Amino acid sequence: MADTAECVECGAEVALPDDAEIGEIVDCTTCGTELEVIDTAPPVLEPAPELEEDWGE
Amino acid sequence: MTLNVGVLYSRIRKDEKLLLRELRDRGHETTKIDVRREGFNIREPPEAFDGVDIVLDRCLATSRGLYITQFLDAYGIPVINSAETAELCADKVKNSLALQRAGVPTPNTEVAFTKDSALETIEKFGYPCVLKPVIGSWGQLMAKIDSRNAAEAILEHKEQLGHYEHKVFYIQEFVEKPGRDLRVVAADGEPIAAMARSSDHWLTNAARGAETSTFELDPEVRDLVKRASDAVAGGLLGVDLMETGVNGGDPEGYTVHEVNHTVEFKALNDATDVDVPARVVDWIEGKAAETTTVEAEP
Repeated sequence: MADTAECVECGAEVALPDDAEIGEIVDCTTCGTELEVIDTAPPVLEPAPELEEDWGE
Repeated sequence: MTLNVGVLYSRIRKDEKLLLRELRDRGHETTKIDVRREGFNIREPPEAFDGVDIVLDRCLATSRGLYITQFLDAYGIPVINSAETAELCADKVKNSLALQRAGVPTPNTEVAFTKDSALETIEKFGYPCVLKPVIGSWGQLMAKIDSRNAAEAILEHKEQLGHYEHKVFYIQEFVEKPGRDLRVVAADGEPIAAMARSSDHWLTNAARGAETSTFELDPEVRDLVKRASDAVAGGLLGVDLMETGVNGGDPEGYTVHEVNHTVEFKALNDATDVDVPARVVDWIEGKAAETTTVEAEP
């Protein structure tokens, strides 16, 4: 069963992928907030940074 | 040869996950380095780089990658892509100049530094023409200008945006393309895979939802990709081209509008049969072997 962590915005349980990586972004399916995986053992989420102008490839 | 591959990041996208998985599956060690948590001293590298054989710059923020690749050069730590390549790709002005200098067909471009001179350039190109930020990606802040009224409004808005880079007006001819452009991911000029990106919108970035499909490379595209890669000092690159002179048949030619140095490839991986991360890691292993050989020579 996939790990879950609490959404820091709305408190809902957010499921993490089995191969979750620190630094990955997951969406809270309840409130839509983008969350950054800060730790995986145990899973910890924080609000993801806002998009900046120089982001890209 | 087992490597310790450092991966610079601030956000792990699907692209980085694919690379990390491929590297780990082959037995390589991966050292993820969150650049937001590091300080870069001019004398010695941060401890996070201890034991790293080669570094991949996968920074989402272009400005960070530009500086960190310079630091890695100073520390003598091999990095993909090099600081020189990053410098020539990150800034659209430098990118256009490099392509033009190398004789690679690229859309005509002019830079102006005031609203009035920018307007003169726009009028000279005629409508429509394109105004782009000098640094940016994913089609952000791009403007297709259809009229003088629109030009005046956009230039005024850009002047008010604050950052000095918005007062570097990068103006480009509008290229009529057949509803799609082409993305070729290449390693030192050798294509790994290619796709067409189609959209009803004038912007055909995959990041903006363009439909992707595989594209069979012809000798002309291969040649242009090699020359475009050489123009920016090589590396792992995303070369973007448009077909020109298409009137229901084959294109008369191609123009290279951009070379990207921290290329995303997840869309390409889905659009083609090529295992893109595997091919990328093949190439990284080769680069690491070259570096080791050079270092071992007396």
